[in-house]
Amino acid sequence: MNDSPISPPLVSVTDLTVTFGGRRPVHAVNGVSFTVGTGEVLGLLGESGCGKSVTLRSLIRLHPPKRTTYGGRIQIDGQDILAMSEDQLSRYRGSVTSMVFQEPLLAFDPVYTVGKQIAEAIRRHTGIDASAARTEAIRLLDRVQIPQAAERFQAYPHEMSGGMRQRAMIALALSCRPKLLLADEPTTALDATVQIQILLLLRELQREMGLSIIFVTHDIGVAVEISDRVAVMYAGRIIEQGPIAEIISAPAHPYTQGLLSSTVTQGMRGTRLEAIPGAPPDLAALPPGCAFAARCRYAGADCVESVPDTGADAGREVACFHPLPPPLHEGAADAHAR
Amino acid sequence: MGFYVLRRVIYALPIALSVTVVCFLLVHIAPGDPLNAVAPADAPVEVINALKVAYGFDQPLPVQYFRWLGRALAGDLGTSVATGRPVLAEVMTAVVNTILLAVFAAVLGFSLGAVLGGMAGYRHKGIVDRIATALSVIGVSVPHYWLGMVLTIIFSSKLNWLPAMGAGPGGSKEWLWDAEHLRYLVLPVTTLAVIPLGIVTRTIRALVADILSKDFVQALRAKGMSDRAVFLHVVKNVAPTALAVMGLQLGYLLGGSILVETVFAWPGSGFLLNTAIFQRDLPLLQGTILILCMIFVLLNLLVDIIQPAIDPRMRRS
Repeated sequence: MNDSPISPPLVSVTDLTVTFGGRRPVHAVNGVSFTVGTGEVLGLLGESGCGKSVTLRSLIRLHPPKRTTYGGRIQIDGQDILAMSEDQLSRYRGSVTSMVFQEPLLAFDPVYTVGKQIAEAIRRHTGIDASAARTEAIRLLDRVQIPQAAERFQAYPHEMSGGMRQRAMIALALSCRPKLLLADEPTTALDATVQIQILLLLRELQREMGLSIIFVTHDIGVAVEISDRVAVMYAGRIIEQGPIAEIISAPAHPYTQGLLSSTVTQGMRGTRLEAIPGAPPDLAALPPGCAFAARCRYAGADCVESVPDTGADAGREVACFHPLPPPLHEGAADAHAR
Repeated sequence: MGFYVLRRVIYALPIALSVTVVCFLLVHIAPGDPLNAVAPADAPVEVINALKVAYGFDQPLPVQYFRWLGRALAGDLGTSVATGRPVLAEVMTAVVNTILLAVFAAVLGFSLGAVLGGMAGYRHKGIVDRIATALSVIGVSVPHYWLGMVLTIIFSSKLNWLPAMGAGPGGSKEWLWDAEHLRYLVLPVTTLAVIPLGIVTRTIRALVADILSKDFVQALRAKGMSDRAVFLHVVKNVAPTALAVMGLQLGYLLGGSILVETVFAWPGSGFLLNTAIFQRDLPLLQGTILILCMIFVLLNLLVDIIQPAIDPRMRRS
């Protein structure tokens, strides 16, 4: 897409591991690698507890520092995130990379006005005075299509509707013109109609600002709506990634296939919804082999012994010893066309 | 906001009125004849009856109540049976002494409790947290009259550093702002501060730990706010509840601790109450309880008014 071969990608994560300490350390992320180009939207897809949010939050090192051990490398906009000091980190957060949270009601401080919380971020990163920050915050509220932005500036979070709060959250996240936006299931807590509006708004702003987005979701429909590429995660690893259309039409990993066939799509009335048997593994006691092997109907002896590598093939990566063959009647070209 | 204040004040009125009823009834329901204090046990019946008429005890209770209420509203709480001085004057002297004690104890207990609780909340389950929790449990559970006695034994009897009793040299009841008088404050204030210290520490610790676990704290960090800026957000979130608890505690302190004031012979309202009870000084007892209750009602009203000024969520409900 926009990532030309000459300029390096905006985000480059290499072999990232995240472990939460304690008596029984939890290996939440186990060797995740991906890149995001400038102006690209990467969907991070997976079920609860697969490490997608943990991966996302690692990009601004938001986990409690005392209990978290990071491994690998995170390079964003030429900066080594894991090597940053606390001071550098707080200047980087919100300015280069910012975040939109799942539940906007909880992500705003209830005792400050929404406007003040946006102005606060602007002042933190630009150093302009209070009245200029206020003007800018109102402009942003207006930009995310909040009616009567000047009045809404004075509103407290509990005085706004869910959709409006999420718009304000987006205004806050984009207030310092970041290059990368981390979106942690920003539409999950919203009504279906509001969901679409928020996704359209994000897409529009993303194009306008040339923004890169990493969008975490468990909802394939949402991922299709917003992403250029998706990475499917399972038990703290990316098991498959590639262009969204290809993944949807021709999943190569058995887990991706299971995930797709357990989702309701049009024209399915009367057919039984497939479910993936079993449950995800305990992240404190991961098996030595492929984490999905125990639930996989294609698993062989090799799957239990070692973790399969991601084999790169023209933008497609699959971490599987027995990847599914592409469907016979549908060519990759057709899938792209969708 | 003005409407809210007005509504709160109107709500406080029936409470204040019921307090007067309870105050009045309490004394009349309590066993024992109020005239025992004035008349000797072997006084002739005519004298007793004459006294009854003089004090108005021959009238039915409701009549007595309204007469008493009417006088009380006019600022006349009667005269002390024991000393013959106006009750209002007696109570006011005592209340001023108690306020002195309460304010010092509150400042000490609240500030120490806020610092300790805040630190414990920030270092949830750390070593500071454990120490603060242990201290607050001790503070809440140690009987403070016992603590007062122990402190007296150590610092007055053994070390002879501080006076054990009274509010000033030579048993004076009038307060003066000098070093000599301040020395008399140290032990009772320390003793009295222990309970609010414990409660405030515990409350603020729980509040801070709870706020820090909220999503918005993560969101603040995610937008690059410094630790100091996050701390200010935490303070503003903790303040409404912490203030309510402190207001309540200040109310208890202003009520005067009968036990602590008795241990230290501090001439405050608690001590006065104790004296009034033991001397069966009915007008004094009634007047003291009434004024203490009114202070409590007033303080709650004040907290009610201040709280929504800090917490916007309480403004429109």
